[in-house]
Amino acid sequence: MWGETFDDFENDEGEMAMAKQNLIAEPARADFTFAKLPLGIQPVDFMKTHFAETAGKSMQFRKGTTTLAFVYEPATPADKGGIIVAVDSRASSGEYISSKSVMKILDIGDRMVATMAGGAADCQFWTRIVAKYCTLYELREKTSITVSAASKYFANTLYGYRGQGLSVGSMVAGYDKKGPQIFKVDSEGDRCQLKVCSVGSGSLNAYGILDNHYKPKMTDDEARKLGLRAIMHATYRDSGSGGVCNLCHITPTEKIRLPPMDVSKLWYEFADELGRDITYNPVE
Amino acid sequence: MATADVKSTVPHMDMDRGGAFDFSNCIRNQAMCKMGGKAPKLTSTGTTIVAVAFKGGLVMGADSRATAGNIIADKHCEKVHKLTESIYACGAGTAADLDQVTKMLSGNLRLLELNTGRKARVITALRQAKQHLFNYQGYIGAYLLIGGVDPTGPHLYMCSANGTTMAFPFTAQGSGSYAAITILERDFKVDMTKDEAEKLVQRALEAGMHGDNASGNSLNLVIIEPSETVFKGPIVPEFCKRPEPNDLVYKFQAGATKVLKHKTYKYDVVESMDITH
Amino acid sequence: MTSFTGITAVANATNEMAMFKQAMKEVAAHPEWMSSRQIERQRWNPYSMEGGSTCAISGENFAIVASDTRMTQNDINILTRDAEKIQILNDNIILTTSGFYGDVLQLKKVLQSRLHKYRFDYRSDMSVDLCAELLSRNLYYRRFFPYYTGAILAGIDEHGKGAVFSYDPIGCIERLGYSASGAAEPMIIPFLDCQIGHVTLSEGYERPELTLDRAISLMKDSFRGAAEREISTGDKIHLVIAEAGKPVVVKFLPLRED
Repeated sequence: MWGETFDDFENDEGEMAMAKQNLIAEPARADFTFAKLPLGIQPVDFMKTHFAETAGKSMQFRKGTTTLAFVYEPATPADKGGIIVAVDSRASSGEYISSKSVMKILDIGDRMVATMAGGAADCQFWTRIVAKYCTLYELREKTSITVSAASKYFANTLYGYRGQGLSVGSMVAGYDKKGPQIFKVDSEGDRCQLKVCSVGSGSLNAYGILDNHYKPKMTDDEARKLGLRAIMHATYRDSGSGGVCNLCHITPTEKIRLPPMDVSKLWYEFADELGRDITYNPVE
Repeated sequence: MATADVKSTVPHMDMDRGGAFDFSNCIRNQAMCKMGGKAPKLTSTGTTIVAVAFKGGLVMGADSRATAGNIIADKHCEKVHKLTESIYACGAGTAADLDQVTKMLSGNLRLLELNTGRKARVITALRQAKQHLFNYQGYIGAYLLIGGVDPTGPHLYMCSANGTTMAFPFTAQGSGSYAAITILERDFKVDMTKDEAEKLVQRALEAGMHGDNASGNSLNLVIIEPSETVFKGPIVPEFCKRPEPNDLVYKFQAGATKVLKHKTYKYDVVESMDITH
Repeated sequence: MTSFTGITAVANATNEMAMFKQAMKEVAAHPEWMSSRQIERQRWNPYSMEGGSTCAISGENFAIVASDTRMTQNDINILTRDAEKIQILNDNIILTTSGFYGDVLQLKKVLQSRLHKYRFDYRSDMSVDLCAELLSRNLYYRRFFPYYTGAILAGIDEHGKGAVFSYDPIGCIERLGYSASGAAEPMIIPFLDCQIGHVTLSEGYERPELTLDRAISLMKDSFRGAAEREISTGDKIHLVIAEAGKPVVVKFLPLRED
């Protein structure tokens, strides 16, 4: 079905039969196509008409994020080093917050995660596809896949749907035989390796903190705190981000998921640390 | 250069009628919408309004719901506007426009009555309304039922936003008019009694309030006769009442909300005043 | 002090101004009020919106689902007062959907036939976790021609615990304690955030336990509240109660009809 010929279009019964079959049984990936709009209707325009701001609040896709990840080396022998991945947890439909507890760090394998920015459904679905590919690769090749290869598969898949309105901005982060690595992948087909990376509507705010405080060598505590701090500041100034901060620390030996931290509580904590007053002060 | 281009392509409307609408922001606002801005929502009285003439008089009525989008903005809004002692207007459409138009009409009619020393006629109110609305080509979103009793008898007129007017023995307007008009068509008779007419209007309004999302909550009636004008309402039909009360009581004790910090400010009292009565 | 940052700000402002002027020109050449009818005709619109709201709450050993039964056309006209938006798929899975009623029915049909086939293949009923994942994927398969629906799947999971899954139109899935969708979602969710999520309560303050009775009461009250202020919600509450190890109970309760 991927390489469609004119015959397929002509053969309406075949199309219908396939559509019906897809409803009854879970379609197999190899011969699967997404349900199509009638000929001549562009998906991007169609989405804009029916699922953009003009549509009802509940009909807009869930979006909006701050995600970040960075690689660091241990400052002391007691530290583990590795990758810190930190994300917020807000999903907004237009100006409505449709969820404040989304998990935006999705597992790809034992040692690899992908973050989720852009369309939430797009990220969830395609990350699953990548995860499946990685698992099959591991079973077939008897060796775990590299971050580079996984992210390349991800980017290629997305590139196949370029221009059709997918919205994905993901960081594939993990440890493999080459060490800790982060690849930024997006729905435009872009894929690049970075040491310090942030994606999403609040990424500029997060970069502000990261670029100021990032050091190649840090203690584990420092690194985790940097992740939290960057997410907290991003959620504080970006209306598309908020909720809790989920943090994942990938070390050379394991993947540690830290409990979610409420960003508004974090703000008070950091204000406390700076000795900043949190109350309103009327002009004397 | 760019500004000159814009000017030459902007359609210019001659609305120079002393304090009339200013259309100069129309193009700008559309351009802003195009760049991602959002236009504010207007409150419109998605409405049922009904009026019926009976022997020697007129009954008019309206529901009391005002909506902004699909939210009820006002549950007890007054849609029966008094123009003179014996002329009333019910309005459907944009709430602000209705208020302004009826205010203007009642002012003008009062001036007319004072100048001539006679009671104003319904047809005068109608003519004033239609000329005003026609001037604005439908941009004033007021759909009116104007009715009343004058020395020539009871009259009922409909005036739409673009200036069209019609005379009726009975009619309904607004989003709930389809449901309301069915009741009127079935049960209207010429020369009904006052009681019959009142009941009919109430039933028509209830039908409109029942079958239309944008109408409801309660209804107001005005019964106009040569001798007196009686105002009735708000009447709450059975289906507009809450069938059951809330299950739980939602009250918060003191201390339920977290206090982050206490801070006390001392002010010098310069002047004070007693507000206990 | 601001002048240093001002340089880029000025550049941006000039750029934005140029864009704005371009937009002004385009709008002036084709004012929307002239072409609105043409645009309307050209746009292919396979969807309509039948209003209504749905909500689900899960607890330790139960899940309750509710929706109103009003079906609305164009936000104004009432088509029926007895529309059912809740589908009981099996003893443990309840689907509730708001939005375009055609897609609501189609979605129900797809899930029903899938569950039927599953019973054939595996000789047991599907669990709610599996069904939730299945629904997510089936919503996503229509990524470029989506179902115009906000779905919620609720039920009792394999451990006997209540489960609620919420979706966006293209299958973004999340397991939550409670969820709402449809016209009154922005009114119901803040209420439940306060009463079930206790987001406004300070720490150490007494939090009432979410029992089945309390959940049912909250559910009723949230619909009563929504019917007060949301025009396309009303007529009746369709309430479905699933408790672990007990048969599903269906109830209808009155709401205001105006």
